[in-house]
Amino acid sequence: MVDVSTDNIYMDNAATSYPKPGEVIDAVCHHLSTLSSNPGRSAHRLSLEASRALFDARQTVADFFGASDSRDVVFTLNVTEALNLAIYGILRKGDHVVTTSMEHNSVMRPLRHLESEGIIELSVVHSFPDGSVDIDGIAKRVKQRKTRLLVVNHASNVTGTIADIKAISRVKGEALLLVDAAQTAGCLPIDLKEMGIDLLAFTGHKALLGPQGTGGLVINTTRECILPLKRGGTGSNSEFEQQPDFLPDRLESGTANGCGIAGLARGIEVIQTMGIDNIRMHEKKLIEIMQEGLKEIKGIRIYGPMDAERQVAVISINIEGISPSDVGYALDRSFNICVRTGLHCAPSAHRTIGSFPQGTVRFSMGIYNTEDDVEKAIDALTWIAEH
Amino acid sequence: MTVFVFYCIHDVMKAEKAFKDSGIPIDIIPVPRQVSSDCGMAVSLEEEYKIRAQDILVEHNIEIKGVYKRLSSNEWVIDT
Ligand SMILES: Cc1ncc(COP(=O)(O)O)c(C=O)c1O
Repeated sequence: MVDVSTDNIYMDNAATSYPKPGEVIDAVCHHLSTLSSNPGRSAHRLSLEASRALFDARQTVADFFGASDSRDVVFTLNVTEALNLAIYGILRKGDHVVTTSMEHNSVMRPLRHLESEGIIELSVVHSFPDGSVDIDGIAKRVKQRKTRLLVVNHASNVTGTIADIKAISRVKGEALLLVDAAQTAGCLPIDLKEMGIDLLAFTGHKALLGPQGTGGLVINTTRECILPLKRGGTGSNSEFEQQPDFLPDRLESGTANGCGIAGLARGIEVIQTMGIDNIRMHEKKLIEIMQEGLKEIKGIRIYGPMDAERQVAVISINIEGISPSDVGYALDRSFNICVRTGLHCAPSAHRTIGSFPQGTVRFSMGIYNTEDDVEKAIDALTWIAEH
Repeated sequence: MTVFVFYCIHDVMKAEKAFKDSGIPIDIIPVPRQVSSDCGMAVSLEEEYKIRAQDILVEHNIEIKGVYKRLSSNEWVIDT
């Protein structure tokens, strides 16, 4: 087995955050060892405790994102499932959809699928080479046709570029705005009402510090029109063979990831205790140090806005003459630095920034990264560029 | 004994919390077979708390499916 505990510099937090706070691990263990019975199915004390844990977690998520009611939080396996739920649950034959060229495949593939089946018409608005959204372009597209759904990420997983969701919401017209918050939930403040988000898809295992297998869709408006992806047992309305029509049961069938969700809720509490503004400040500092250092390296190409104010702690680079995978391999084997290379499940984003098909080397920092980590990464890249 | 029946467990949990916060003693019980199998669980409370409890539900915007009263161990009537 590889010893992953010593001297590792983990800079792949955009994929999954690591390590997890002790509180999160404790919450998962506590749930597994004391209240891991089936929530919402029975009235015995253990089931009730499991139901309460799920209810409390839903409230924690609702409060964190400014949802008006915790029933509007639908738990899913990850953001991919939440995005699929919203996309397939809302779109009908003939609908027009607008998205951007910076989207992850978890948005692009469901939309391309519906397009190829002749169900929707899709307009992909080209983003700028630094990853920023062409808001005027979106405004034009949604005006041309009665658009049903507008899907954008809050920050790119390739360049970290933050989208101005409030400004995008102002031009959405009659469309519903679905935001992929995979890269921002937990590291940027999000308020559904303040930002004008109709539907927010999030994942639990990145900046929210929770375990894998957690995520959700938070619904701000449009409670009625979303059809379930799955139908099945909910513990409610058991005399009927039809799916119940109320939330969250309508969209949540089958036993939930109880212990995972308990961990996710604790992750959010850890963030609230640290203060999301403090987290942001820490990450901005790391971005600045990283960018300053990178600029000094010969033959390096840095993607994204190069401005800590306009990006989350995700930085993509390439070194002239060396493939991203070779850089990543050297970082891992010679310097114990873990990064992700290649296309990051976002081929369209790489086309937009000009790094398709080879991709980039992506560094992504989290709350546990230090300035020292960043300096070591810069030293390692300097060495690699010179050899 | 009075029993409140809800549409879903989410509302039962919400009601439980609201009642606890207001100091109304309640229990969560399996829904009596004679009542409805809607969401498997119901809130039971002493009749003297009924009116106050109903006000709290309105205040918290929690929809109730029905209120029942126990006459004997297997006799329940709607009590509105
Ligand atoms: C912007 C974006 N969307 C979607 C995803 C998919 O996340 P998950 O695998 O948790 O569903 C990711 C992360 O991989 C992402 O960065």
